[in-house]
Amino acid sequence: MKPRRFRKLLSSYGANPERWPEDERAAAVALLAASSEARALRDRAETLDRMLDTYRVDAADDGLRGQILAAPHNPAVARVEIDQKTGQGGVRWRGIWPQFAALAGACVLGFIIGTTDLAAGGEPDSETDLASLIFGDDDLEGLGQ
Amino acid sequence: MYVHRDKGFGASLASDAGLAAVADEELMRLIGEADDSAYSELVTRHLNWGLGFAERLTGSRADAEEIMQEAFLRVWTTAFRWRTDGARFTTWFYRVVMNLCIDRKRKKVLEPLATAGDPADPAPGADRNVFEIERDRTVARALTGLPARQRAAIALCYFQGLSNREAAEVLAVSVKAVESLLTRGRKAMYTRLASKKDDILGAL
Repeated sequence: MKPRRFRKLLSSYGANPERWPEDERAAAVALLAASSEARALRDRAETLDRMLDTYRVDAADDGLRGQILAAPHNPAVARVEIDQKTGQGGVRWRGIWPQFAALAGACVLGFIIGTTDLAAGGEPDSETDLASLIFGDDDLEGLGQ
Repeated sequence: MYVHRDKGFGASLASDAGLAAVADEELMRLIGEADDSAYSELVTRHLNWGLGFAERLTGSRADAEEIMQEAFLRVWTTAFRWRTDGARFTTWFYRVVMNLCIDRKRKKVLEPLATAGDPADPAPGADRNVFEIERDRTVARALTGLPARQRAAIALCYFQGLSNREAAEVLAVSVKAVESLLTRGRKAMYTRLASKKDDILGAL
């Protein structure tokens, strides 16, 4: 390996041979062993590595993990899924079927109530009929006598 | 709480507790069929790994946690489109996380300074003293101050341990370009941190 390439490895990947590209590692390690100049360059690169290594990140806590696992069970997420799936071959009903069933049930009930009331009641064609609809036949008994 | 669907291949895998041996890409296929166990396994495998990447890209623990929630939500909502045609899950997932980080940082730049806050705010762990917290902030500020692609290259290759080829795939550039980003990024980091070297290393 040429010193120029060795310098490039250090400036790109740092001083630790484990981070050097696998196909060049053996040649770079051999140069390091043979050249004091290469070792001096490595030591300089190591200073930055040591500073970077101080930057630690804590692992995720159980709260975050729980939120991530629970997110797909949010009904709003299911709606996003449906938007994405439409036109892509299939809709995933999970999470939204209870709302869909409630809406469908309300529609059917409304239809039944609407049609049966009109069919049974019909159009009132006289004041008496209208009064009967409002008050009922029992309330009108004796009024005309 | 997370009920596994009793269907096909996924059900037998989950019931045998064999998901630990299943490749990420196959887990994605199972998640596409709404398999909770596969989703849980994928979260277990990649949460800490992605969180570290996001925190180093944004310099903020709070942002990184929100980004991971959004990234895994994307896993869930887009898995049905996953095609096992040689694409690697890790490459795709790193891209998702990286893009979310860049978008978030861009939005923060557009916010008024009064509301943007400190861009580098790693959450202190319970086991860290005040010197370690300040040291982390110093390195985090230097890293988040780099241009996005240099920052991503260092985070991927140095902190996450990806090979130059893997990093090139995530960044959608050549290996040579990755080396160039790393060289410029490390040089800038050294320039920013050299004057604080004794403070940073002295706390060790």
